[in-house]
Amino acid sequence: MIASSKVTDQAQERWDLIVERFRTACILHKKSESRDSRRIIKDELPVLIKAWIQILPASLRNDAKADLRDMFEREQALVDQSCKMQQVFKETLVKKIIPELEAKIAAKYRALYVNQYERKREAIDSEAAARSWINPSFSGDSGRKRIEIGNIAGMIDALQDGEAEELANTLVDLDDIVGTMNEQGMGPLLSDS
Amino acid sequence: MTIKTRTTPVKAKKSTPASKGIVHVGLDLGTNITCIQAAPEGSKKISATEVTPSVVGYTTEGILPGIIPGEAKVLFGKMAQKYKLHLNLIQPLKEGVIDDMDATRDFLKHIKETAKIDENSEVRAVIGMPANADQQSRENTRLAVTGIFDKVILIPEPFLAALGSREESNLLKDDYIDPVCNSIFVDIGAGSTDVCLIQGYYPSAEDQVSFSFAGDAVNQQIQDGIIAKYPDCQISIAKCREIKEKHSFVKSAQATIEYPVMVGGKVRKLEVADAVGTACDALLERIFEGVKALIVKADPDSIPDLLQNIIITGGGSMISGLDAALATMLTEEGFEGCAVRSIGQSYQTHVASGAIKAASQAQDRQWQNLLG
Repeated sequence: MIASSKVTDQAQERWDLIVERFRTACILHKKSESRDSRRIIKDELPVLIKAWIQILPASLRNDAKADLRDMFEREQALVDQSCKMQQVFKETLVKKIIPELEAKIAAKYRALYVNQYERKREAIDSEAAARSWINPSFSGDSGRKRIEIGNIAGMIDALQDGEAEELANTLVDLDDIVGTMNEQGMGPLLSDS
Repeated sequence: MTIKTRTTPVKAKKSTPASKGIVHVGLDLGTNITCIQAAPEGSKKISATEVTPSVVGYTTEGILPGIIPGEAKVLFGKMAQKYKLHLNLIQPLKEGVIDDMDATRDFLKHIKETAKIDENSEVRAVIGMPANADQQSRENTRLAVTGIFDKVILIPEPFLAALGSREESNLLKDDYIDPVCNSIFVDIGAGSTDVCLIQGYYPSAEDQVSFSFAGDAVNQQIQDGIIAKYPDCQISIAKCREIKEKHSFVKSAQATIEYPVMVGGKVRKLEVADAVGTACDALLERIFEGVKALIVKADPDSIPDLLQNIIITGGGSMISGLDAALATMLTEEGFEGCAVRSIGQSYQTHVASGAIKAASQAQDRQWQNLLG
């Protein structure tokens, strides 16, 4: 942005808000939430930009347009790169990490539970004692691929990939990646090809 | 949602010697009814099919000797229902997913015993899950079967119902209508009703409509209707379910149903036809809306054949006249040439049959180990 020494705190705050809202619009667009993204671009940003430009000294208004252009390009590149990173993380998670976790950690957790269950069964003669797990509600759908009815192995693969991807989505959040890249001042890491 | 655990005794687990062979299990763990099928790996012959009410009864404290057969501490299925007065009855599942982990494990151990599966075998189970089951529900299912089965694959029930209803040996016959080539499945369970468009592919999310009005909601509406009419009758949900199972109907097919109910220690005959009819009609209305929504989504060229292959399954398929009433409603709506059929009693084994078929064709790498 225009050197901060040249603008007031109020102008800086308005600029930060413009950057934050534009970034959110880019993230929403990447998440295919186009309606919300468009609403920010069409309804929110023009008002914010107008309010920001109004409090800038007249001599800086031409610089402001260039700043906006640079910021739009920078933020779009940041979100594009973050999206690519998310895909890379997700693919690694889906293909390697989650199946390994399932095989090792989840299995150990279940073994631990079963041991406890058996011990409890042997030790206590009667009397109910209640304990509970919290069961948070997730929404899931693993039937996204069109698999022919006879292709049972293909259907199982699609379901298991879908389940791993669902878990990966909860682990690798695009908002978090963009935020982290931005906080760390990271530039593009991956080529566009 | 919370999952309950409790402590009651069962026999200590025996140490297991080396595996003798692989047994495939198809399991439809339902809210009201559970079906297990078993078959040795590589065999097309089902070695066991057991259908058991999904209920576990734990003896209450201070019960006199000789009341419960064999002084058992835990009874299952029909035996638990028979001795319900002396037991704390638990339904391991609610709305198709595990609600009580320990009761589920006790129940699963029991049904594995009833299927006479060799204890030394490696047991690989394909288990049906509700179409809308979330990550947590799936993990709870894996946890519940750990130590009971060795490896699992979880598959949504509509997929298994589709597989289970298909008679592969008849596929080449001219007059055989393949139920999964171009059809709409209506699966009425206890907690939810799934309406599913199947056109040669495993249904995706877009091909399904699921709503939480099903057997349990019908029971509740019957109870509400009867209590509104007879405020002093204190009729239980279990009794309403019994009435539904014996007398359910749609579209005013029955003018009167007099049902004996204990009120204040005396038997009183209640007129319950209007309550039953209203509740079942409410379910029919929702199914009609769901089916309509999926017909509209189907390829227009496929619709004439699709309309002739609407199949109702699940416990709700036992409602008298449901298929004919749905066909009439669709025809009145302008969908000509509708043929709707209820699967009837055999619905209880369809998901498990599909699961066994899936187990036999699953590849080694697809089985998930439950213990490391």
